[in-house]
Amino acid sequence: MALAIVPYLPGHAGAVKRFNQRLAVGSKGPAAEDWQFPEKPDPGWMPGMQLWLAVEGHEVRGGYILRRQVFSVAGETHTVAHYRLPLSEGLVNRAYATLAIRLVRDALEREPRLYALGMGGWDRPLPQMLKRMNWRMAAVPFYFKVLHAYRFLRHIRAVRSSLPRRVAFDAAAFSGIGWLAMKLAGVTRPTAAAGPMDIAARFTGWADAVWEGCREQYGMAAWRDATTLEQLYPADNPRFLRVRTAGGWALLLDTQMHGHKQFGHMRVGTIADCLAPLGPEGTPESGAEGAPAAVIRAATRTLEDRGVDLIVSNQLHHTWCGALEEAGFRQGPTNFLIALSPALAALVGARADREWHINRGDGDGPIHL
Amino acid sequence: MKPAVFEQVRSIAADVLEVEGRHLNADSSPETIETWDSVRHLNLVLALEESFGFEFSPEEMDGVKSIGQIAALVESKASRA
Repeated sequence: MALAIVPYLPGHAGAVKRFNQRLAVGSKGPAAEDWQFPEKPDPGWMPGMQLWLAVEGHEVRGGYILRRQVFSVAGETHTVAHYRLPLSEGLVNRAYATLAIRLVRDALEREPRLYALGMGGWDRPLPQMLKRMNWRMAAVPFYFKVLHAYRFLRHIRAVRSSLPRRVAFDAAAFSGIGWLAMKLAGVTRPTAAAGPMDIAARFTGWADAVWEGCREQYGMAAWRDATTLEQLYPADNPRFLRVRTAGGWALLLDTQMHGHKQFGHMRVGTIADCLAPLGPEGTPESGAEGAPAAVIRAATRTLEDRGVDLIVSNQLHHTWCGALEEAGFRQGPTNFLIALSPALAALVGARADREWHINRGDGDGPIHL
Repeated sequence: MKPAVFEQVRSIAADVLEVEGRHLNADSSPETIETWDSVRHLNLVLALEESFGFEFSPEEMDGVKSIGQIAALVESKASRA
């Protein structure tokens, strides 16, 4: 039967539920729980979303979301779209193996300048496919800073993956050896004093000034004016903390995890998003004396004072990575990837990946955190 | 079917499916090659498109079920190009 890609309408909801059930029954592996398409056409997750379905008769065989956005590429304004949550029945039924290619080609026809973010690691089907389709790929580094070694060792599920490891981590936690080892390795190094800072109630004109003052300095960045930031991080959501300092800002989360697949029961602080002017390369303003370093110090101090066990952040821009390292963060393995379609990659041109400002504020926003 | 086209398809398939070329013949299919799953099929289609410089239509992508059918399709598309 012919398959057509059509806009998601309310009448499709039942077929999407059946599609999700088939994925849930047939799928296995760590990503399986993420393989669920929204069961209503307007899930209200993010502004600018368009949902598309691959329909065969009365059944849904796949779908994807396009989220239209504005990017600044070396100071120039361009419309792009986030290629989000592409799901195909090919994940569980070989008869639909090539539907994934149709979905991405359909999305490219609607918006040639696409990007995908997250994707769960290089070994997953989506990044493998995009790489073969000549998308430009980069890994967004993951940074962490341990504040409470005992709770970290007891709850970090990402590495407590076998019984011998759990026994070893528990022994290290209860004996204090783990704390000592982390201290000697500098993993729990205290943060240098932060300069004057405050917590803003919302993003207003001051955030516009930050954005306009620095957007030309970044090779590529999603639009981050006050209006956009208020949509992403609404003022009525008490989870979002907006730290302001040194002409920049950071958006923080302080989350008590409960049985999280990576963080167990830890209290996790996240530097989800941030923005500040970059100093000229090779000057003190580009390093420890610069605004990004001051913002990271202030963000880290804020989360330390709130009593989190661990602070995490994903950052791609080299200056922000340097600021995290300066504040005592260590780099860990990352499964957070970015892929640019050939048309978007052509727009970005020769600018290095590490000049793009990409973090957990992009794409799906700070979900699972 | 031209032997050269078949050999080229077999070589690409062997690379994508991670099997030795001598284990692939015209009848080799997802039913006979253990590693030929959905993801590899998708990668095989993309690798063939890249090597031969054309795109398969959705019907063509779904219609080929064996190495022999793929080689025949590639040959037919190449002759039309």
